[in-house]
Amino acid sequence: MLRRLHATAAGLILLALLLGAGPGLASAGERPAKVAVFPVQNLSGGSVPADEIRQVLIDRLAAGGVSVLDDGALEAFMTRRRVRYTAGIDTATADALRQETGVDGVVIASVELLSDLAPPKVALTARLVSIAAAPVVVWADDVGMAGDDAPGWLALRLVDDYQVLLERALDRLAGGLVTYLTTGETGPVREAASKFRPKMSYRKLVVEPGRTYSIAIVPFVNVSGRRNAGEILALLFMRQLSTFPQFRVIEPGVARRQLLDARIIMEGGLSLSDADTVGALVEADFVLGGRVLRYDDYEGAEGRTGVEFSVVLIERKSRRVVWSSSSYNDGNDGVRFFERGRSRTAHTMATQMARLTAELIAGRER
Amino acid sequence: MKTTLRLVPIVLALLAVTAPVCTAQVTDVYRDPNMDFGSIQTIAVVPFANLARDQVVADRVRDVFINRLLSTGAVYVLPVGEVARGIARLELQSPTSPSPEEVVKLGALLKADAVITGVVREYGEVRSGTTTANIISMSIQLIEAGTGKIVWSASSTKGGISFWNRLFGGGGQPVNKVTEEAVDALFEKLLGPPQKGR
Repeated sequence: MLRRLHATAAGLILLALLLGAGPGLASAGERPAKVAVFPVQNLSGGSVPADEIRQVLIDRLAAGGVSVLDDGALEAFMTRRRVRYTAGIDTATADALRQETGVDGVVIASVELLSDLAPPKVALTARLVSIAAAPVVVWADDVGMAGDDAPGWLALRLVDDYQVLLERALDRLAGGLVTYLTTGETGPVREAASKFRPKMSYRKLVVEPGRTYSIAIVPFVNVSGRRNAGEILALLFMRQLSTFPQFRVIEPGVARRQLLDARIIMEGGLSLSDADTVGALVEADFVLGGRVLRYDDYEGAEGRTGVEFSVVLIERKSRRVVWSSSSYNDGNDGVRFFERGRSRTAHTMATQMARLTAELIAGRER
Repeated sequence: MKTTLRLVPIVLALLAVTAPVCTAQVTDVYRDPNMDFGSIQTIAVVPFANLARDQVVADRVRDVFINRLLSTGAVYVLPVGEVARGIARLELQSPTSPSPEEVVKLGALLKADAVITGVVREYGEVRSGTTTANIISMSIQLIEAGTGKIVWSASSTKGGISFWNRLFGGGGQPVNKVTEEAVDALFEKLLGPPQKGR
């Protein structure tokens, strides 16, 4: 009898752990039934086939049985409402879109890197924002690939055609999105290598079990040579933090609107008053920002990748820094034999660095 | 036994040669004997002056410095954005080297007990013949916000081309690692041995 009780208790604990360890994004009620696919955001600094990427996403969603708002209706709405910024959605636009077109979700994809020089490289991020109520990120994923990530024996698996690589990347993103929209399930969390842990950190954060905290993420201050690196890092943190059940990430478009309305320009970084203003306007418990010092990619077969950033998390209630960390990694870190473990895109490093930072913020120790 | 004794001076000489490689050199330490350092609870770190070639260096070292200082748990460090806001509001012409009056005003505005200024004198790769290694040289000043008086000051140098680098080659430690060690050495002088971040 006692043994059976123990087994039941162990089973319940295991179940609880599994539920807690899962991506645990939105509840089923927040899973949109009809979505609009916004124009693709280009953060690469070069030209990208944004329309093609968007069309592929729409086709995959439609093929997966997801109801997608047609182009004509979306374009008419954007013209009517004079929507110029499509890399996010604010509360007013979300309300209007929901009322006028009947959609309750918006898909926003961003291209971070697209290099067609062999071996090609691709880095994409996509998120699904529920607009059933206040805009909130309910699903997010990212993918970074290089043609020589896994060349295999005699380089037989080397990918030279960037269209092939882009298709693989889009397959993975769209596949995950369709699965979420149809079943509510999110894919398994990709574990990050421990070498990508923050090199130094400070944490004075109390995360009560069972409570959900809202986080607003503002663009990082970019002092690196890479264009749009601040937005890229903010997106990666949005993507990683949204997988934790204890955090509810406010749609970056909402935070951006409030920054514009309050005429806040964060030249030197996130200040306490900025955090207070933004946090109060979007009803966030925490505001996350930071600085990007390095975000290096390379084209072709040889080069070095490197990512360096610092993160600061400010609690609105106490107006104090509750998390601060510095992360830096080189693409060759920890590489010993045959380039095994080498990071060929800054994205693959940055997403793991953001993942491990988010884990530590959430209080999840390895 | 005799052989062992004969080896002692050689070992000591080797240790003397390699010692500067293993530890950062903290020099020119000044500590105000009348200052109660326990009264400092909140610190504002203003942008560091940069005398190195790379423009991002001062930001990089400042970030490392702030995070190391926070992770000691000894004091609270204001976020860089808050300090930038204070500098902008006071319209400081030279935020890297504020005058005592400006420090007092900045401290009052930010509610900081002390202000830290710094100079990165050298940062990056140094070369000697075919050998290269990373080096950092920096100095820090802790200024009491109430009076604008310097209460602690020190310089730290870490890295460079060592005896072993010359002998066997190699590029020394990564520059970020060198930076961390130089900052740690400074904190050791200020606060005692570093308590690494959680």
